[in-house]
Amino acid sequence: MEEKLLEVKDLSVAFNSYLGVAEVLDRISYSVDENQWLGIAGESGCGKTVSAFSLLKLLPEAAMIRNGEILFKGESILDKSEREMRKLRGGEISIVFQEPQSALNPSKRVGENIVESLRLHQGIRGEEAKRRAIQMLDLVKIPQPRVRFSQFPHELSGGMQQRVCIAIALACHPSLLIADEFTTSLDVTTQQEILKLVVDLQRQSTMSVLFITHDLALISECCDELIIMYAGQIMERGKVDRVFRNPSHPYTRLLLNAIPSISRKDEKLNSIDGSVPGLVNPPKGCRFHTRCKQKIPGRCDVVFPRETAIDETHRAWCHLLYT
Amino acid sequence: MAKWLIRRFLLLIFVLWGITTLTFIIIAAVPRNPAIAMAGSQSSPEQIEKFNKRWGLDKPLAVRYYEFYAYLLQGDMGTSIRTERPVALEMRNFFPATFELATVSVVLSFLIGVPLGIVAALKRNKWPDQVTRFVSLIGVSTPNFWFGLIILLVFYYLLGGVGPGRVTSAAYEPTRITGLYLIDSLVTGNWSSFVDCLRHIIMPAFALGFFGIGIVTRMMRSSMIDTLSKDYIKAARARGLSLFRVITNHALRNSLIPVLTVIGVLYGAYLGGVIVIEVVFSWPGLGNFAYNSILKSDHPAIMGVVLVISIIYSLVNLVVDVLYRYLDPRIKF
Amino acid sequence: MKENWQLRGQELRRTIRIILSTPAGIVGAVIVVLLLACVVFAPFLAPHDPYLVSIENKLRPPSSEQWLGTDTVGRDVLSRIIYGSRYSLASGTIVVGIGIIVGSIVGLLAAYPGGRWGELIMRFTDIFLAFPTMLLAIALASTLGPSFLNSMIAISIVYWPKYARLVYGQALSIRERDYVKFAEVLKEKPVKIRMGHIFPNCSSALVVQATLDFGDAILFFAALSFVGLGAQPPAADWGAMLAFARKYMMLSWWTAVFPGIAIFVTVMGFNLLGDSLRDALDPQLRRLKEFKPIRFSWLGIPGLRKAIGK
Repeated sequence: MEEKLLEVKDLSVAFNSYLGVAEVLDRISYSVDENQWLGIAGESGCGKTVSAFSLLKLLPEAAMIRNGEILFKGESILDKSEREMRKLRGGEISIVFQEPQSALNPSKRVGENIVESLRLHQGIRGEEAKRRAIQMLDLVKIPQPRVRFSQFPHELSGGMQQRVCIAIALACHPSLLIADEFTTSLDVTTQQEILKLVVDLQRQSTMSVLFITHDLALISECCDELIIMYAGQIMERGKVDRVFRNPSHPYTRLLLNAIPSISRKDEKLNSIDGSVPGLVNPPKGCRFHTRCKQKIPGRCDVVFPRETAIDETHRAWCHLLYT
Repeated sequence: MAKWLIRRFLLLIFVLWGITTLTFIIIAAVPRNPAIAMAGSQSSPEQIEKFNKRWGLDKPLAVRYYEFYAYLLQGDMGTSIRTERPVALEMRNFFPATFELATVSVVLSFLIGVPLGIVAALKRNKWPDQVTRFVSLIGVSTPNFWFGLIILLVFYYLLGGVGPGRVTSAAYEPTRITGLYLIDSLVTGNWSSFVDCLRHIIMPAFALGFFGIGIVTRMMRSSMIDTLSKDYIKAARARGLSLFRVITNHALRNSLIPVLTVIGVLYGAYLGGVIVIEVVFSWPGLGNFAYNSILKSDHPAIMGVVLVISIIYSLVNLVVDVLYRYLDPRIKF
Repeated sequence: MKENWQLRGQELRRTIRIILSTPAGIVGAVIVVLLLACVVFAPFLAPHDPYLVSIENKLRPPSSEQWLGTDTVGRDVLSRIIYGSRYSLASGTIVVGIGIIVGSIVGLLAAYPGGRWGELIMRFTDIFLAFPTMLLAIALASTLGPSFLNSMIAISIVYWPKYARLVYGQALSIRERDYVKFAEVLKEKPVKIRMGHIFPNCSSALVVQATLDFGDAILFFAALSFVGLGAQPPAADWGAMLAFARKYMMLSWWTAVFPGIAIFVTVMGFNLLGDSLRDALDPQLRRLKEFKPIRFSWLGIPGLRKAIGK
């Protein structure tokens, strides 16, 4: 069997909070192949971002990894020392954040960030680093990269700032890029431009992308596979076209119905009734049962369903599928 | 930038005018004649009249008010009744000592307060934070003059360290260039004098600056906590920077910017609080001069001190504002 | 009306409970209560007459008989410290009291109904705030002549502007509230609107500020006494005791150490109490716009409110 780039097995993460212990991730498993786009979709607060930060071992102090393992290129991340992790961060695994204006240090010229990464991971410094940084800015299609290099973040537009963030993330040719809602704060046209840019850049290199979003439409545009998460649990996963054509989990179906579509002439926007449950003392069994219209009392609210194979890659976790 | 500076400058002049007028009114409103303080309560009416005539105290208030500004614009702050020397000259003599003391206190407050604040922020709600909080509580609750006395008691009387004053003896006084002994002795390469001055200034500076340490610590702590919660800190960590590097390269500068405004605040505090400290440590500065002038109702001297301290205070705040805008590229003039 | 008082009582009990739920609050409260006990029961607590001069007993170090020793003319230091609490508490009460009264009047007049005159009054107040306070107070006290009363006047003159600022700032947001508008529609007199509607809603902020200032005012007064402009000898006052002790410090450390500790502990008590009071009243304060206590004015810090308050 070919080696996966990233494998997450049975990962559980909990947070200490004032209200009690919040079970943020509940036995999550997924994997990313080389050169693959994996989308993670779900409502806000379902644990998408936490799963991304646990890959970097950069969880807040209140967090604790309860259980599970993370393998990156066959090596266990959770066993790595801080020093080894630092090499990985930014070198092998990079991340692009949701809000570019807050992800850039306001008092640093944009180019300095790239130079900093290059020096740290590749030992390139001085004029050479500056040349490479300008090259990177050019690569992400920033006009006048030489001028932009020495400007401050506030002098750039939101789209340009996000391009800078991407340039910083890609500076050291990582093999995995985590894109955490990286288009959400931009307006729609910029969103498309940025997404196209990352798609192009990914094609030119051997890089996998972990695309975290709540927007299924975006996932359908660029991802190979997708994972549907709800309240810290995985509901369904599989190739994007298969899942979209044959959604097997009630939650996935609801999510797909909630996408506004021009072709459908529905009067009202579809939404899902109820809200995401609190993660302190979460619902037992399948956490979606509190909002599921097809819930089987005595089963859904007792035990988490086992994995059901829909086809060779498509999996779903629902009691309805094996009754 | 130029427009902003001009506006700030006009504001500064307005405040200075307000302050001098206020002082003038207060001094004029109190029927305590300097003649009696100077010449003694047994003086005859003729003597007092002569005294008043000599110092222009017989003129109407409006005239005295006008003359004060008229002379001031020519750089003349009048003549001290007590020392019978031009106030401007006295200011030149005494001001550097005070400014040096206040500056060293500010520097001390920052040197100690900034690291303490950083540690407290990093170890939030753990014991280093609690200790720091306690230290800053002590700092703001201690009477600085008493703290000065205790320092003198322990380090001078008990341990036999250096005593009050700026230097041990006149032999250690550096050649006067700026009047700031530390700088003068360095410039002239007078090493023994530098060491002596440094040893003398540490005690009063610490007594004066102790309370500022608490303030700087508190400010630094909250500012650092604020900065550390920002996304760009997470982003820097995610790029593989060590915590140390993140703090020195990214967090420190951004969290220091708001703390810098405290420089202005501390100068205000130290220039005001310096009077008691100078009295305790026999420091030959403006504070001692003001204290003696006040005891003798020496109007021109009091006006001079008030004016000089206010000007310096306002100027320091102006400089801090400029610095602030320079350090934070987001602020436009 | 009666229910209103009951409500107030409940709120007071709740506040006290919150204060006493933290170690800082307990320590602060204990210190303040002890201070009050000293003030009230000084004649019973003091082992000796604080004013009794006995030259043959001068400069005795602390002993089992006289716990804190005697001063240069043989007076008992402990007794003088116990009596000194009266001066301290009096100075805090007078200064803060005058500050609140004058400051509130000025602030309310400037804020309601507001307009050009209000602005002008506050500009005038700002000049006071821009002044190094210690310098101003010393200048005032010395021109008035050294005495306890004059030092109180001097510090009060320095103190009121910050209450004016505080009340003004609070009142500005309160005057936009519906109940004020309602009172206007009912044609209530401006005086009644100020006192009946605006002022009561400033009171939480004022209480917190006043508690924090108590320690500050005590320090201020002690500093004035120390330079000879406060309580005059032979008064049993902490600052004056220190001024006296300064000259004989190397002979008798106890005369310099203990009065200072008394000041320090008292001020710390009020600081702790003020801080926890602020935390306890925080939800109420947060409803009002931008309440930032102005602190440490005894050292003459005009600008601190903008820097520390955040």
